[in-house]
Amino acid sequence: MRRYALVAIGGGIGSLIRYGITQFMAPMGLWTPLSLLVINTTGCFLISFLNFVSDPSGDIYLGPRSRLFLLVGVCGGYTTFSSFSLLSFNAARNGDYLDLWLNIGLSHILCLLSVWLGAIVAAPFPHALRRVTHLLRSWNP
Amino acid sequence: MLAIVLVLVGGAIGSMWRFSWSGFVAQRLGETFPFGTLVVNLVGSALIGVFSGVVGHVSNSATAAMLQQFLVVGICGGLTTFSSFSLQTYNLIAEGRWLSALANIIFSTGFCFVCLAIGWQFTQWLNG
Repeated sequence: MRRYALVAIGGGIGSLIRYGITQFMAPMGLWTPLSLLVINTTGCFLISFLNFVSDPSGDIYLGPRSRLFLLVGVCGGYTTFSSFSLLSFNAARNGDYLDLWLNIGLSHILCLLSVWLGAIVAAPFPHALRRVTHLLRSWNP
Repeated sequence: MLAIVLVLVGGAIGSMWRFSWSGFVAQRLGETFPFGTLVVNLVGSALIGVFSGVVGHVSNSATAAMLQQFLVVGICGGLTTFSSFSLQTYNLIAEGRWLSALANIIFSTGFCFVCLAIGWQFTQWLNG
């Protein structure tokens, strides 16, 4: 049951941050899908970085509980597919086909790019940590 | 404020459902394709269609806002995920499974759209 608590708390926090960002950007009168694009791309970068900087077995940086809280909980609650679908649906209903395909295209492309970026940024960390721990172990003053 | 509590609780509930159902589906259908994420995104999209239709018919704006915060932002937002979806698509690509990656994108986007439309149309029919 601890696992569900971690997911619940993380998911609640992620959802709240998402709500905060949409509320913050709403009065700016920007392109409607923009706030969700910002949220989903940053969320994809975050889940990717955290995923690839850590090892699922808990060896490096993040243990399985931390991964559950951060990846499934926070990132999962922070990003959303339902609002993305709703934006597409509303655009289609209003005949905004440019908005429709722009939102779909940009969301998928930018989110995949963000995942890729997160992986790249995360890559040197585990190796760096191993090197540091190795150096520390072999240090014989 | 009330909005904060509604989003927190709704998001918590939706996220727990996501964890539970996607895990269940992944156990049944295997991890070769992200069926678990697909299922929660489909259900969440259907629900947001229903909830949006319901909220649109609520005359009291304060009530509508609370329903929106709890049901749409909270539950649907917590239940569905774009991050897991993109990460799984990326992993498919990294494994060289381009067709599966493309299928994930197209089926997720397309079927979620259809589910949402059905959900929304259902509320229209209810209020007909």
